[in-house]
Amino acid sequence: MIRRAIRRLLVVAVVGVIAALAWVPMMVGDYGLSFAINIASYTVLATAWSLFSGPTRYVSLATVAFFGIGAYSSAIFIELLPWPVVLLIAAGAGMLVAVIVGLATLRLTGVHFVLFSFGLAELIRQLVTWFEAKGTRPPGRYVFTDMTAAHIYWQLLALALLVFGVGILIGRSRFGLALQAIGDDETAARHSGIYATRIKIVLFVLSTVFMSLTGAVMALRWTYVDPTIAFNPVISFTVLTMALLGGTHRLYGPLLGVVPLALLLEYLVARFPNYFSIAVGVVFLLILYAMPRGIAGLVDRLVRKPA
Amino acid sequence: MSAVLEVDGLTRRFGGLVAVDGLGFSVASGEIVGLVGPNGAGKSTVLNVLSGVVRPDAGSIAFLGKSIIGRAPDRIARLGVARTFQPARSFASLTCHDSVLTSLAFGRKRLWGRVARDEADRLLDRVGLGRALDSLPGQLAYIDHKRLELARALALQPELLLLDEWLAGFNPAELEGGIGLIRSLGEQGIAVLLVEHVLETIQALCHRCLVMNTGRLIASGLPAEVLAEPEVVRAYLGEEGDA
Ligand SMILES: Nc1ncnc2c1ncn2[C@@H]1O[C@H](COP(=O)(O)OP(=O)(O)OP(=O)(O)O)[C@@H](O)[C@H]1O
Ligand SMILES: [Mg+2]
Repeated sequence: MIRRAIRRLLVVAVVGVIAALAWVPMMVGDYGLSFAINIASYTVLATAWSLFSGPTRYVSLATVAFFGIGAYSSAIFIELLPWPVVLLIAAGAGMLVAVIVGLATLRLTGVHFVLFSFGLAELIRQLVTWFEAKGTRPPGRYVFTDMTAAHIYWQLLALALLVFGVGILIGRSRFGLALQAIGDDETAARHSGIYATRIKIVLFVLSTVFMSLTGAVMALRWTYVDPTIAFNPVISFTVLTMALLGGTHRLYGPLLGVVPLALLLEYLVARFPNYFSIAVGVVFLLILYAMPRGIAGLVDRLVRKPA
Repeated sequence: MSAVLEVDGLTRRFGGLVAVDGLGFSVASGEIVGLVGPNGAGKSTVLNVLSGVVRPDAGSIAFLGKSIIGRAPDRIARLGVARTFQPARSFASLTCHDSVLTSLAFGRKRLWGRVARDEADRLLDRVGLGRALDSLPGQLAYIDHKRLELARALALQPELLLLDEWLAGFNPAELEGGIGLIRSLGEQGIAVLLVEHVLETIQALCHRCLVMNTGRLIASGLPAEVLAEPEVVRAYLGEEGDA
């Protein structure tokens, strides 16, 4: 009885929060909305990152590769095709690359995978640069759209809700359990009947689709993309740091990392724009030394009664 | 009795070393077969080949009448071949209960939800871990690690169970319980192939016994008879002489 009441209350609370979040563009000014867009986009990226990398411990620095693919899909097709089709192209292009990368690299482990994922992002950036340089136009592209900042925010909010929904479904399914087992001991997992390679590839692709879609939407916001912006490795590092700061063993963990770090970075960008990446690095090191399970780990410790 | 496992001419080399050399044997449903031999005889390699970790260079393996050579370990597990490791492996971030759920979820019947949870509890109870459902492997004693690994193996609902020194390190009381448990698995119809060093355990538990030395089968038959054969005694004494 009481459980049911609590559950109902929770549902009401969640719906209320979503409604309030949807209302944000009407309540805040330009600056506030721009910050909300920032938070929303990093929430999608960090949660999606953690969906795959959390349980499997494949630390990926390829986030920006997929983000950039999405951004470029937008930049290239927005004036040619209806927006939903552009989103499909962004998702499809990202997926294609993710499948190839998955097949090629998910056999690598540890630091080899980290390095490869970083190299991949750089490689794609070089390829795009080279490809764009062949044309006669200047290196960047303008992204023309009549969508407002509020439209962009709502799309990111929808993506955030979607990534949480997918995360909840995975967490409740046998595949969530399988990812966890694979991360702990892949050999033992295989001998438990888990088709590890297939599961890893499917979840890797799923997580990167969200990154590509975020890139596609954020290109509208930026209105101009070139390879150094769209494939900026700092994005990958920031997402990684946010996810680890929040904690990847809980679905809501990355969100707990996104908000404080985004606030900090916002402050730094305004005050000391040159120290942005140094700050990410320092926070990263602090996490590794001080709280390996992130903020969500601290929450766990507070909630759990001492045995 | 029908053969669950039939192995013939099985060979596996590592470089110049022939770890398994033309091995042939079979295990019937409900039969408990011991695999013994000195260190480095190739026992673990046999289990690795059977469970798909390493491919044989020659020979055939029929499980329930079908060849499983070249099949991936997860496929072989889903067909109904379960194994334990030497030393025991576990999922550090999963509770005992959830660890067992993995094999139930991906095993032959792909159980999930309420049915799977109840079955996981039942299996953990059966191996003597009923009190530790929510413990993480890191909190378990050595022996409980082994129990958990066996529960996970049983969750695959195997026809064939491969145990690599599962009883090693048990104290006398635990050993008695462990032997009783494995015996009950045989009575349930599971074919068991177990690697074991303690000959008293083999005598007490196994219907049949295979003796390997340097990759080859040097004797097989009833444990009491086989373990008294001069060549077997020599293989073991030789090992002690080397040590
Ligand atoms: N992956 C491998 N690569 C190279 N050599 C191997 C490999 N696996 C096993 N060997 C070698 O094959 C031989 C048989 O090893 P195996 O582990 O099967 O013996 P065992 O009978 O299980 O011994 P123990 O009683 O010590 O467990 C040994 O000489 C070992 O060094
Ligand atoms: Mg061995």
